[in-house]
Amino acid sequence: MMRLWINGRERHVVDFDPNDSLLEHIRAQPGLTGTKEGCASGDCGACTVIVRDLADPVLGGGAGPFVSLNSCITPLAAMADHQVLTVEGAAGIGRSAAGANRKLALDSLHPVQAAMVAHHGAQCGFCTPGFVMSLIAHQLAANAQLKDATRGDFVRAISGNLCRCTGYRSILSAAAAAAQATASAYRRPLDAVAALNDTPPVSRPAAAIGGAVRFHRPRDEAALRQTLASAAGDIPTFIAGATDLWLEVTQHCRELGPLIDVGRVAELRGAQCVDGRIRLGGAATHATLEAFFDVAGEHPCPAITALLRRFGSPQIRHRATIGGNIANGSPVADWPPVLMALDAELELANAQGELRRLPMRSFHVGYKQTALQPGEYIRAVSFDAAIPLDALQAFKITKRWEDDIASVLGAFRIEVEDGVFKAARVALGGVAATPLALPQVEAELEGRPVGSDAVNAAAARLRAALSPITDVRASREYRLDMAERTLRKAIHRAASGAEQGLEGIPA
Amino acid sequence: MNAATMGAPLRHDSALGHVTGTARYVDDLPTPANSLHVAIGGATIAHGEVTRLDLAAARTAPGVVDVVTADDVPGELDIGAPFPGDPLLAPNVVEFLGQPLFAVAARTLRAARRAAALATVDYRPAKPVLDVATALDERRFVLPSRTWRKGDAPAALGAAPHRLRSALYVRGQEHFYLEGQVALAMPEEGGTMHVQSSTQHPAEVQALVAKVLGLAMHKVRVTCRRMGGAFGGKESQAASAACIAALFAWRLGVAVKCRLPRKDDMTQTGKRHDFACDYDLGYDDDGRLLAARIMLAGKCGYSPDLSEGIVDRAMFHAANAYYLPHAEVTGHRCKTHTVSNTAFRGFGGPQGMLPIEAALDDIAAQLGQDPLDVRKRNLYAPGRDMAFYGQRVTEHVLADIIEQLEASSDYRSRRAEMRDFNRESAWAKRGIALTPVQFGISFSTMHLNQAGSLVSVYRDGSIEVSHGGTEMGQGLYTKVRQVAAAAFGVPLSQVANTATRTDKVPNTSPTAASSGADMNGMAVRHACERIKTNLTQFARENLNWPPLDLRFAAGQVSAGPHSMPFADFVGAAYLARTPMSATGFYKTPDIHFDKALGQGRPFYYYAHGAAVAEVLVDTLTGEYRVPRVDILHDAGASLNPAIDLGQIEGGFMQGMGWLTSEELLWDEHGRVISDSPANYKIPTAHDCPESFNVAFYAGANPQPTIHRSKAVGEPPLMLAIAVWCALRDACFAAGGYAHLPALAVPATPEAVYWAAREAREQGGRDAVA
Repeated sequence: MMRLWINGRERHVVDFDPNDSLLEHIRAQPGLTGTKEGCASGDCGACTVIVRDLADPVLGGGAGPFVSLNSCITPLAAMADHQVLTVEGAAGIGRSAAGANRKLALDSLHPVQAAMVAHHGAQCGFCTPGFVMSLIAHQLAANAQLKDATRGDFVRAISGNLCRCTGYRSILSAAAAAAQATASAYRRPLDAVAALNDTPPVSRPAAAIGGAVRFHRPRDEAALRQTLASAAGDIPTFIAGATDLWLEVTQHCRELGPLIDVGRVAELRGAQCVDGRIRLGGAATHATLEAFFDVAGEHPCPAITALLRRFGSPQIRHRATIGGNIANGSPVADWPPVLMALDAELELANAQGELRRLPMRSFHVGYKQTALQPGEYIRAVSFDAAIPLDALQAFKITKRWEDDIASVLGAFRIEVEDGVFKAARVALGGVAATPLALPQVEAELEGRPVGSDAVNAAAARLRAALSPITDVRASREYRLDMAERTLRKAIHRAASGAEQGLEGIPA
Repeated sequence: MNAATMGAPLRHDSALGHVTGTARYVDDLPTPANSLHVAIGGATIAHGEVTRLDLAAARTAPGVVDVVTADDVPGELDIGAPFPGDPLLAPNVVEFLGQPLFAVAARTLRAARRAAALATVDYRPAKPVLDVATALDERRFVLPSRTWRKGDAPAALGAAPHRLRSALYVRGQEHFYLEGQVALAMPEEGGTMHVQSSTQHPAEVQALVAKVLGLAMHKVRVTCRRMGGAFGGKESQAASAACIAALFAWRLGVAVKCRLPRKDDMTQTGKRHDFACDYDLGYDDDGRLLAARIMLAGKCGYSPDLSEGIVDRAMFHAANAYYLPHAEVTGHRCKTHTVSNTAFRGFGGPQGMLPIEAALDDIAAQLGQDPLDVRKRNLYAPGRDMAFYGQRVTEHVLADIIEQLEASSDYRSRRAEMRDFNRESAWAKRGIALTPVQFGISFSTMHLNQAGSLVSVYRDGSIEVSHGGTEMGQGLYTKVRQVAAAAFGVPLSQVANTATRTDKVPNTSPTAASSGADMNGMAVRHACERIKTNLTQFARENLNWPPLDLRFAAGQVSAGPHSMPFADFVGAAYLARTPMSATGFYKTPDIHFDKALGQGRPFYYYAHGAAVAEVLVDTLTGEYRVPRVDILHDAGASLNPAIDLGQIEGGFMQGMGWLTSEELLWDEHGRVISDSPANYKIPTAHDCPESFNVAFYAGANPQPTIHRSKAVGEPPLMLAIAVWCALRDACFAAGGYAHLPALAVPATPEAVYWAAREAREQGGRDAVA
């Protein structure tokens, strides 16, 4: 049995398949078909809803923040003890028995919904519920800063929502208008549903739910290890945000076996500076990391911040974890080259509590193959806190600026002192079967005077080391050129402090 | 007409439903508890014979109720329209990878999909034809080729002082409607079938379901309340899901839903055609076109589908807004072993239009002139007004539109500034372009230019309107309600537009060719006028009002000194036994065309517009953005400027996606590899120009259309050609304006990178710093 609240109404889910998504569950409820399936892969945002964990282990079992996510690739079981707000709930529909045939009036709408009407932000309307929920989620996150939100903020808020009709201008106008709403107006549906949850949620350590196929939800590392130990030979598949793995269910109709959700494990979720190292928990979400590396924070890293803004979408970043991005083993994942450039180290653990440390550079052993042993999980990734984060540079070359997978991702850490390359770290994604660190290129640079000799030699080494393919994203030749080009750009910037070309395409 | 509703920027009919999620789409409709769900099994090779189709495992999989193949179709297997050639399920030969071979009905969609994956299919593969070049070489066409001629192009080309011979490969486009193909079939009493379909063409779905089941059309009713986007992709392509759902519902006697998962939709349904274009142009020292020989070869896929008209329309628009004294335009409909390509906003027009715009840039570059000046000189003008297909262009507004836009967008000064910027900036380059659109309005298939309606005035004064047009987000229902509300002088809220149903209005045309409001608006007005005639008679005979025309305004009906509230008036009319329901009809006048000769007047009128786009390119990587776009568009006297603005902005962005980030690709086996939103990238909000200035050109349609408005669905898509031309202009700048490079379509960052590199290399500057 699991329990969740949808638009404030408590629901006990007794009979369900752990392969069910949150979206499937929502749409099966009477009157709740406003949340749409557009792609079932987390790319279009039509299924966006707002959730919060009512028993967040990190908060000692208290309620977490409201965040948006793609309900199509969120396992229903991961939403146990969660509050869910759908587009109907945002309009106050569904809290009473009046149902969907209640007459709708403009003044009962959420300010975002009213603004979408006033600014003609919907045409066919199929994507609209997702936009509404993304914009409400942005309002809640921006909170006191909402009135100062810029067009760029609204663009980023809806970067995970595709609209094929409007061309977005009207939606951005609606967002700007709705941002002038009062906090009590835009918080109204949340406050209304929040008030209904007086009952303390059911939450057992290592609670497992589901039928024959089990879905384990350990809340701390001890419970995680215990679950792993008791699984013996039948090791569950690890999931955290499931933003990639769940496509196996929705796109390939795979029946996933026992699952273990590490996404709630308290010890795995933080990001902090400990003992001179920056330590990012394996289950830290990208939203957590965005805040951690924020330019206004204690560990400002403009390169990571800029990259994270283009990592998936807000919905994905609320769920996807750094450990998942690494463990997935993809040659085009964003994090591995960045972490390689930072000389990061992985902390791997298993059921017995054995820890081992592995340089990020040694983790990928083949196409989608990693050094992880069965039952081993990524506990954390860390790097030396003394590394100047502003020396890190990352270039992500994509077909579309937002919410796209890299054709080439170049991550560089080049430090120049007195006209000499003091340090050089060069790593690339999208140019080989695995993310690639290039020590031979680094060696060409380190200790040599800045100048075209060193740069040309490094570029030649770099090209020789790569084996990109031509695929749907880019040609082999373009990838080779972009690998070299991003290296040259990074060197140029490190040496001169100036940009070569444009600094990406600013939002 | 009533000023309160006609021409007012009223919100979309379903706006409140859209923003609250209560507007229902087919997949949202309540279904009976025993409803079934369908998965379709597709071919895994592009071409070959099926030697074994083993479905035993699928039939016995959990939850499966029924499995069908081509042999199970009781009526006709072929659902091709207007030409045959599209089997509902492939009988033995497969002609594209993904072609439906069988279908599974199960208790849940997941069970159906898992079962479909259990089929074993063996093939005797044949060599597929996968590209236009091969099809042209081997003369493989789905329909005969056509050549239309004006004057003597070969002679005029030979005599021209300058020649431009070039080629452009224009890629297609995936519709990516947010709501995929879906239909729900409900068997009803007496062997009838009700199909709720997300379709632009309910009448054709009705006809095809009837054919497949071997029924008369009156046994089948099709309803479409709304679509979650269509863009042409649900004109012919909606039929397959509807027919398969109906087939199962017929066999099993239960409701059956067929909804294609996104990947299946992107693999199994047609898209915008790729076109290979060759052109040979002759021009004078001022860049005036003297003659053109243009070849347009559409990649039609394995069957004709709508390709006859699509290639025709590409041909019609091969000269866009420009006068050709001599022309020879040839259209080929190439057969390839790929999914059958279909209608997509613009219907071949965009692909036909792009080459001439590219060519005018080439000519301007060759002559060292501003491309805008070359464009202006080539516009149709009095005395230079005969299109090569025999239609005289009579409405010369583009010169004025361009003039106004040139001024409002500061085109000249921005171009000058840009030249300075580009001289100073080593790698970042700016580009600008102004391009016009002249788009012909009418179906090129003559019989489709008809529409019907049914209007009912109830005795409480509320009014119900039905017509053959479908609502796909374009606001048709809103506009039609405006027409009826204005006709009776009542508030909009008093008029309801029913779902589009084949039993309300029969034999209707697809909602396509931008014709929805033009034709259905007129048909509804016609019905309203017929009811008003009855009401006039009632007023004279029963109320003894003077024999004046009744005035319907502000909720009142009046004649001379007499006046009554509308509701009271029709209540009295009812008691006096007055017929208050009428059908309406409209057929577009004055159009005719001989397709073989290429002569006639295919279009009732033209819609116009022009756009200026500015781009900023990092020529080191090809990354770019579009900071500013200015548009001036001719929607005639707009029926609803809020809705039309949405059509212009949305059409433009969709066109921009087609020409920039949306890259439709197949592998060497014929598998579409851009098969999901993860690898097929339609624009996001970030791609929307930060400065996006859209204005309406003031002017009414000279033709007596509804409210003197103009069709606005398709024409704005082609305004995005300005973005592609501006990107090419920025690449031109990369080589110091010495060499205008080729630029692929779509102009992805990679394509822009190669173009800039070509410009640098050919333009004489260092290739790589």
